[in-house]
Amino acid sequence: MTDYERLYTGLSHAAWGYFLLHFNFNLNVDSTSINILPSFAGALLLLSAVDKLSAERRDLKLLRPLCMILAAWHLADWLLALAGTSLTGKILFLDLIFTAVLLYFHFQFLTDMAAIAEKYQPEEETLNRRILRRRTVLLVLATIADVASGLFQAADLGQMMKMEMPFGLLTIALGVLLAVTLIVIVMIMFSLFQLRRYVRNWGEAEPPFPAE
Amino acid sequence: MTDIWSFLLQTLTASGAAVLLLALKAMFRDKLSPRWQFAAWGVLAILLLLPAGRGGRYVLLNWPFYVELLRSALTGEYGALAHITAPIPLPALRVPRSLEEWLFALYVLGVVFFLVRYIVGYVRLRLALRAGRPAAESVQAVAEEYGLPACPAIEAEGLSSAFICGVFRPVLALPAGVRTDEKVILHELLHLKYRDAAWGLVICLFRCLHWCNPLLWYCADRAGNDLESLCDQRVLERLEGEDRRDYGRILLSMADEKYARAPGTSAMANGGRNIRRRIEAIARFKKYPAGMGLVSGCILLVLAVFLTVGARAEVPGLGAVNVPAQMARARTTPCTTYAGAIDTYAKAVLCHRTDYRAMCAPLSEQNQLAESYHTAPMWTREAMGMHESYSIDSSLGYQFRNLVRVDEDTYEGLLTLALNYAPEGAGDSDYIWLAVQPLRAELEGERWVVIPQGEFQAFQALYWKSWPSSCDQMPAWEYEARSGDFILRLRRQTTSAVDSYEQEGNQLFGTRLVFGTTPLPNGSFDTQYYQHLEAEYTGSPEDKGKYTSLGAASRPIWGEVKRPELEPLAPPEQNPDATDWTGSSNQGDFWSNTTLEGDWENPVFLGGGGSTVGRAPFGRPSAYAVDFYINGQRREKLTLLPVEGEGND
Repeated sequence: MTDYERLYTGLSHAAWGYFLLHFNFNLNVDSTSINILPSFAGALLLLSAVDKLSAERRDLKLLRPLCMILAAWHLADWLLALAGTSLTGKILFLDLIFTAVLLYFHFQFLTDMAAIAEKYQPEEETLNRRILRRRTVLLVLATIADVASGLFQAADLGQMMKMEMPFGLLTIALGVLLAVTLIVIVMIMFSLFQLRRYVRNWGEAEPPFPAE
Repeated sequence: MTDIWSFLLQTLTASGAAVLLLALKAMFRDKLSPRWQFAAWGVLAILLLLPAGRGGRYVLLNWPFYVELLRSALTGEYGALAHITAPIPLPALRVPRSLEEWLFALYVLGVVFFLVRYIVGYVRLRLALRAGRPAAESVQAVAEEYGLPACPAIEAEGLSSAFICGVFRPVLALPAGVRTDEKVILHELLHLKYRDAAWGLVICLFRCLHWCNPLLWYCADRAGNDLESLCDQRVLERLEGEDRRDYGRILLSMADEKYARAPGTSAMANGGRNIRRRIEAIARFKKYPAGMGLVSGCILLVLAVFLTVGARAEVPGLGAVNVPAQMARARTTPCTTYAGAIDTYAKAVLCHRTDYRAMCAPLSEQNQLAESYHTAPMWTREAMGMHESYSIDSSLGYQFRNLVRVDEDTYEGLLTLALNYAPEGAGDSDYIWLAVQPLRAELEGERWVVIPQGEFQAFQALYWKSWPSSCDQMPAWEYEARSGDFILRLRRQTTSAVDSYEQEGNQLFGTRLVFGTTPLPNGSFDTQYYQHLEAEYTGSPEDKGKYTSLGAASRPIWGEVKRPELEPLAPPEQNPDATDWTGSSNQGDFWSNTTLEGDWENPVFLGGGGSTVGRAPFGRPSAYAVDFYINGQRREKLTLLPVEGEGND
């Protein structure tokens, strides 16, 4: 029997987890910047989502250790931010592991969400295809951002800042990339909320299991 | 690789990346497809093919520093730097003379030994196959059934399992006297289709080059096994139900079979432990979701970019003085631009830092620097060619004057530093004193180095305790031409510096810009120029009254171009009735008109000024085009040529 309540909660956690993972809101207190929407909370919500949804999609269990890595990384980064530093960019070895984990997580998690959507969406709906499209766009954008940061490293950012026009264009391009990524994240969030609605409708339509 | 240290750098750099790949592969073992598992080794192959430490960069760990530290600790040598031009051994053809040369010779012998062993093994295999008999029928049938390309098949005695042999003229070798299962033939034909024997050849070459690195041999084993797993995956994609289980049973039956490793071959049986891993992979077999190729490609692209780009070494910080470590860190933090090298030299002088000097010193001077570092941690005035009485004001930073490009790999100019007070015996003054040293920046391998061309000399500039923009007391490039009773003289100076100013303070008490003394070895110069034209009257004093005004329109000429035609001199549009005016453009043109009255002052200023060089050429123009005007009429179109002299050299 499908536990629709559990499924519904899992999808809620997934949507808010995506939001917290990507959106930051920093408060400056005594020259220390505190992110009050910590990304590690997003990773923990995604971990909870993986646990709750894995009854529906067995493959999601594979993501459990990856969620833990994401949560540990973001927690360490959040704590270091309180001390005025950051984990990102300090140890390339860990950066690359984190980047690979994040790319794979986006791919597998959203692929599984699309599979759940295919099962629960109304016949005429194509939410599953929309989620897959957004997954692909997110992957490509995240990869472009990562590759660009690697190439910046090669070209030496300090040198690039001396070049007025190309650097100006580059700044605009990166700004656009960031904006589009955030828009895609919001769209994914809405897709997950939509999927949650379909699950609730499905659960309401199905007759309750007789009590023992 | 020309010595044992460069081999060490290459193999350690690849080992670091191998550890990362092994960690990622362990993490994604059950998540990403065998295609990704094998393709990930491509990133390691790229690193093995690229010379390590190029451009002063390192991968994951600062291997160049550790290699140089080890070299200095073991040999006491500071004047060398591991430099790799090609990822293969390039030994000098002479008898080794030191332990490190003997070690490198041993390494080269090892490479040759493994190469010969593989080549002999391959040749013997081909000869053994020649003695076999053709067996094309079963192979042709399988090829047709699965739509795969076929190749000549040979049955030979003494083979334990089937394999493809050869990259350019491949042969399918089958054991004689036993019926080879069609799934085994399918496996081998898929190796043939995807030319996997070529990968085997590449893996063998890397084994030879890094024969003494067990980690890379382990990676080679894993790569070979991943290639087989990939082929298993391709087979399973073509089989259904019971056939898949049969395939697993066939693999199990091969677990105890011996297997030979030969270049240019691909064998289905590859050892018990590897077979166990492959069976585990088969147990996980599934149809991976659409898009698996995309995410695999994205992860590999990011890894490849970061691992091939690497990172720049950090400028050595102030810590406990450990001479070998500081010197190794200094010479493995290369100056990648001439401006960066000059900036580093200037800050070495300002801070008396021997390690900063080592960053931009030629390798031939490193041993001497290390020796002086042992005796005195500070870089002494004597060592930098400065009089004991000079006290440098480091808060003002430095200026590099009259920067000129000698050739593609050489730049010259004058390092200018401000002194706190007048040098000994010069008397006190409100005006600023400057210490000036001629320098040359040269490219040495991949490092820019600075070679002083003389000692520091003190000059007094008629400026009150601040940097002079142009300065008559300082050397300048001079140009000259004569027109009637007048000699026109033009002086040009440039000042360059890497922007080193940093913000200090906080929002509560306010911030201010201070000169940062940490070298910027990859920096580039901001350059300003200043030029000044004057006309000196050489005629008789009685004739001075004939002249009521002098004017000039001037433009620098760069290189061998023809003298340009200049616009007629005219008053500015905003003030057409003006009698005296002056102006300039940021391209270096300038113009001026001056009314002369009574016994006018000689010489007469005819314009000039300064600007940021920006993208215009910097350095020394070959000449100046000047249209000279007397009493409002153009008198002559002149070309001012350089005056040979101290300032112009």
